[in-house]
Amino acid sequence: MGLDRPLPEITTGPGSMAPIGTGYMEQIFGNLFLNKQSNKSEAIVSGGISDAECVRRLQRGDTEAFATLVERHQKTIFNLLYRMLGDYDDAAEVSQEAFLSAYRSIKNFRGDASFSTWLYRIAVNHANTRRKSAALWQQRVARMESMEPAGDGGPDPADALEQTEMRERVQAALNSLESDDATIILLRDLQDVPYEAVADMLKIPIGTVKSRLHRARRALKARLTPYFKAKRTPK
Amino acid sequence: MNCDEIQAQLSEYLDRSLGAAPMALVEEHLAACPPCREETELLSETMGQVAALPLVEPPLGFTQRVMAHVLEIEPQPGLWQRVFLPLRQKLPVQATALVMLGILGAYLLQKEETHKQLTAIQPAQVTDGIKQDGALARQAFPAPPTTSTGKTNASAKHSADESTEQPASSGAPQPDSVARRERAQIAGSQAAKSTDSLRPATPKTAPEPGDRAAPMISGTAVANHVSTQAGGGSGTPAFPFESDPATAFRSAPSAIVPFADYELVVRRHGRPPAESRGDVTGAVRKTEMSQAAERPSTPRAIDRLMAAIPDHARPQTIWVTVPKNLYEQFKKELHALGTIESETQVPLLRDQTAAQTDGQIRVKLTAMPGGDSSTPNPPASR
Repeated sequence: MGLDRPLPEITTGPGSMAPIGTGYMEQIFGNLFLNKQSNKSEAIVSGGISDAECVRRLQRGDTEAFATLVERHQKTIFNLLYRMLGDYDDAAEVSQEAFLSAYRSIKNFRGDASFSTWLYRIAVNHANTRRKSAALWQQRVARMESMEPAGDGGPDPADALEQTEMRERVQAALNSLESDDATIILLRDLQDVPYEAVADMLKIPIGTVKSRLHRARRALKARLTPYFKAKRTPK
Repeated sequence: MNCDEIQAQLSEYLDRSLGAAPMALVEEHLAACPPCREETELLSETMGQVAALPLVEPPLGFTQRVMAHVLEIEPQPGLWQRVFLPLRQKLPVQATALVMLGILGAYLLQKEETHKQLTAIQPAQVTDGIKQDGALARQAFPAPPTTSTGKTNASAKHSADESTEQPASSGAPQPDSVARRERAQIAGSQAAKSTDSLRPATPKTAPEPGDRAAPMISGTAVANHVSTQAGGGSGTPAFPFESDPATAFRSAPSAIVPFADYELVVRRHGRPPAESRGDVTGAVRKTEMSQAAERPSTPRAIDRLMAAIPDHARPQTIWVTVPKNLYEQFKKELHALGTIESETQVPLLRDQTAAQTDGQIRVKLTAMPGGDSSTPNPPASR
């Protein structure tokens, strides 16, 4: 049974599964993409100074070095938290808390992991705390339409509407997941963080990352399958 | 491999993180198993939808907002840093504190010295009456202590120097106990000074020669300011002279021996005055009263002197300061007390020259009992 309306990049059939991978992710995420190399070594951004150098300067009291780090990582951190929390304002607030928390504890950063991994860990912890503290947050309907671009600009307005609806459902499904499951899906599938880095961030073995990721994906799939099937059914 | 095993590996298969062999096995199974292929498609679509979530921009000025908060955090050091300043701040602070402490200590030490000196001096106030204009002061009891500090400093210094230079002749009490008693005596004598009358600090008990138990209490009575005038307008110029009350407690062997320019030994006339017998304090009171009553015809200095050494049965010593030019007159007047048996000029010590230059002569006057008594020998002069 084939997909009625597969996404353009996703081809069906066992023989065509291979193309699903980094090339596809790169296309979608652009500068948000974190490849495995960039997480293993220090990410050097166009500014020319590596994260490690910024951290060293910051630890020596150069506050401005922290501005470089914030500027460099705000987008990825903010997007992760936005999808974890499903609310733009919450994401902004928690992102700020996470950066300030990182600043306060920068003296304790020993460089065992990369700065981005360390920062992700802090951000995820803050987001989990926020999710636990917001009692009604699961009922929160994603109110992100106004924040998002209205689709890919395809010619068919019906497609754009459907795409928006799909995103809302995905976000609602993510919100309904356990924090750990949502986190690991977003790290892997939204931000394409390598297994090793995920293991570092969550402080769990790689085997556990894989099994937990599989469980989380199946849980999310279970929530979205009715919609997928309804979408395939000819109107 | 059955379907469950295949489906357990689908996540890794879609991530392309399986090895080559498992990968081939999964692909082979999926080609032959529609349910597993369906499962794979749904899972892949789920992953694709998550990956397709659009990127959103953080709020404008996010970095600036974070940095503004960072700068708020910046100036607040932690508790640890507040308690323990960094070394570069701590060292100068501690050094400054040390210097200040040193200065304070030195100042206090100096003040203590001055205080000790003043304490020793105060009773030995020297009358400035004669200093004024040479006109011998008519007032019988001149000079509140404040007018004569310079001089008293000098005289007290002598006293202090003496006490250090001649420490504890045999049997003298320990220096600190001496000092304590001395202070007690001085306090008493200061209190007594509050009225401007003659007040010899006469001892309650007469000294026992050689008695080492209480040498300091049993002192010779001394008038603070013994000034006199020619009685009844006889034309004799008055000469104020002062005894040194700092020496009031030194009739017994003592470590404190005031310096004297002259030592006079006077043998008393045989018959003691009536009022000098019995209660000494009574005698003093009497003197005071009579003095108050008889003004302005104040008693002669020699009368006061005699009142100050009322004990006719024992040898008594008193230190008296006499203006240089009146020294001879003072000796003449001493005949009222008795006969001068000896007069010794004491050779000057090195540091006693100051006293010599102040126009005063210090006299150590030893009054011996009358000739018929069986008193011990007069104390040997220094």
